Amino acid sequence: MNIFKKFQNGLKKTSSVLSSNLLSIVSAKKINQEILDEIESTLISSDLGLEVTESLIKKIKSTNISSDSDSNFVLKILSGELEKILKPREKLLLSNNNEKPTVIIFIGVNGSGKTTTIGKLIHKIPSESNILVGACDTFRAAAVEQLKEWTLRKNVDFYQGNIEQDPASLAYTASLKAVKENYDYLIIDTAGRLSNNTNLLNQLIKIKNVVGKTIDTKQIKTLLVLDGTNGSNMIKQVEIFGESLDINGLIITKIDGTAKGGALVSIANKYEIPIHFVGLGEKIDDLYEFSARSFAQSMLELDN
Amino acid sequence: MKFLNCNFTDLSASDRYISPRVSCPGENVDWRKMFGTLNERLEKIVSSIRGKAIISEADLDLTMREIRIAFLEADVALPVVKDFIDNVKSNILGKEILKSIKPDQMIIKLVQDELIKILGENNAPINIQKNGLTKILFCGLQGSGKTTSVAKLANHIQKESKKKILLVSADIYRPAAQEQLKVLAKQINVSFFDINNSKSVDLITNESIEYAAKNLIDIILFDTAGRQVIDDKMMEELKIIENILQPHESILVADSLTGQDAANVAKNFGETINITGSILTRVDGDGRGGAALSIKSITGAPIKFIGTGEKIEKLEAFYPDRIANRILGMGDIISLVEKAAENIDEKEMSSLAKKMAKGVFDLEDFAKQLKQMGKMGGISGIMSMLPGVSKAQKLIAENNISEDLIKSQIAIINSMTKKEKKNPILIKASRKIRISNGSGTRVQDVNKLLKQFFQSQKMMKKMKSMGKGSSPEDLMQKLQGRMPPNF
Repeated sequence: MNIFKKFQNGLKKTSSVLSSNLLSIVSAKKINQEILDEIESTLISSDLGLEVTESLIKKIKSTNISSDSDSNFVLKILSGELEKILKPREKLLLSNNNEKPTVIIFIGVNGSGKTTTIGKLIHKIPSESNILVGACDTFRAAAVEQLKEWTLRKNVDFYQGNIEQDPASLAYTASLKAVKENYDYLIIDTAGRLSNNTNLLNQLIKIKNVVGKTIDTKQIKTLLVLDGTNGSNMIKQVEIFGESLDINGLIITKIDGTAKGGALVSIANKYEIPIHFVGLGEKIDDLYEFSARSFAQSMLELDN
Repeated sequence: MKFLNCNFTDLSASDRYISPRVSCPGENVDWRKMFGTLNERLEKIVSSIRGKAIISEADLDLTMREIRIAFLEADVALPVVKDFIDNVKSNILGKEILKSIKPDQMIIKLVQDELIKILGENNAPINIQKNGLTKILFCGLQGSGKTTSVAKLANHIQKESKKKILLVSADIYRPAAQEQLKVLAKQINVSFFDINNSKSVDLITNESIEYAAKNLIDIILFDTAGRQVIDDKMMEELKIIENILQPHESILVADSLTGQDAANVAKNFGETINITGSILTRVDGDGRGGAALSIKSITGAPIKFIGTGEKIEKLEAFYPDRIANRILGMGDIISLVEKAAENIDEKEMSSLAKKMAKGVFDLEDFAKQLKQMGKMGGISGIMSMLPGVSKAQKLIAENNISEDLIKSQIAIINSMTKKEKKNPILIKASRKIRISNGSGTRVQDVNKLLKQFFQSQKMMKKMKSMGKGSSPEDLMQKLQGRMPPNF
């Protein structure tokens, strides 16, 4: 199964809801206000947000649709528009010419899937690289054990501190170790936190600062993990985490269910932050490099 | 509201001065503001038709369209929004009351009625059997907060009753999930059913019931793995668990940040097992709360609790009628009064009040006041329940007035001698150093506290002259501009 197919399958339920809705709306009828309203509602209900929806509706309005165009026509317009928005955000996370070590700090709301994504990511990194995983979620019960379990599966080095140790001090010693022992990657897991919790945001800033003491900040990437089932709050998360921390990339998880992940499009529309991966399942290899075309097309269930 | 007074100086600093001390990104939205966006939008919509003697059908259509958009933007799921609008509309048209009542009020009333209809009227308590074993099943998507909610509910029940509780985890998939619940069980001191990472859900279910019977357990809280609703195999597993367990309650745990997907989640879980209630998590986030409406409306089962913070005790019973009022901008005075009644030592407060009225007020009293505030969940918790004080609330959050601060201030006062407490003017340089060393704080902190105290003292005199019976809002207005910035 190629990646596109997998991608498409993963998003199948997502898209079938959306596109069958749209198909039933646009087939046979002429586009009038009532139908446009329906399309609008349908787009909003896939978490695309009002702004993106309005621009898509405008696009449909300005396009001539003759009575004999096929029913896919509107879908194709929409998917083209979505792709246009998403395309500039495609960017690979892993590249070879990085200085050693590359530090990847994972941040996000509780339960967004940080630890699981790290588990999947270490599986994606070529096995000749040395990886050190630092467990800086010292808050949630058994978070360290969970992460450790993932590192054992890939035989990756694991660095943990004491229970309730200050996560920043742990991050600091982990970065010292990463430099001293010449690791290629240092991956840091942090405790989940809500974007409106100032104190916990400050803690993240501190973690980033202390890592920056031993490692050039250019080598530090802060990745925000977003839960694909979240609605408009996803945009808020990007906004607020982004205000206090320079976010270098996004990973969106859990869009293998019925979640439509549409908020991703409004984020791409609003922020120039690369989207590196999408999480499409629970298995170790269910993390996929983000592709605008695949995402847009499979969202609307069009063939490649 | 006298107990608020020691930090009133901050509140009244008004928007002229916003402290840069803490880099506070974005708005600080207290959970009680979760419907803030919706509330704002609705108020705007209503004001656009205000003053019109008669609403034409075109006006009504436009208004309904705007309400629809407002709901969708607040992340209420589309099918729920559609029903909502249809119902409000048919109520308006059916009753033909367009001409008789002020249009704006009528619309508010109908919207409110419909909100209460969706959310339900009363708090629905958790169903615990008087005799015999109560079994409570938890389900939800990955990362919705099931395991944390299980522990929080266990803690909540334990505080209210003497029931013997057993926590069971049937999450055999996520690494260390069982370990997580085990740690939490230990933390709150309830039993955990340890089956050494067994990989069979049937086995865990069956054996935990047996174990409960043998050990005279009253309540089983049964945690399950997170699952996607389209994962047929996993949904089948949930059905099997339900079959074996025969739960008295099946709780759907849902993230309040969920967007439109809430409708699918609620629908699919509801079709798989018999959902009897839900717990909404992360209500302390800055989500727009639409998920609450979607989930209640689609499962038909009441929201029983809401998770309002990371700590184990941050679980509150859900009162739908109060939330409905809040959506339309009315405060939650009842919650405030209840909370106050729960926590405030009345005798102490009245003696404090007397002292204040007389103008004799020393650091000892100040410490008492701080303690009372700490008990009530800090000043922002109190303020959030009052209507119309969102500005003040924002300021508090920006000034980072937290429970920790209260604690450290109490420590400072405790490190003073009796003489110093009675007569704080005595406290000069060397005493300050001693006090800061004794309380593990810095001299600046001692200075800040003293400054705050002196200002409070001054305030009290002012308040006295302002007279009694002012509402907090009036008081705020009066105070605005009078206070020096930054304590």
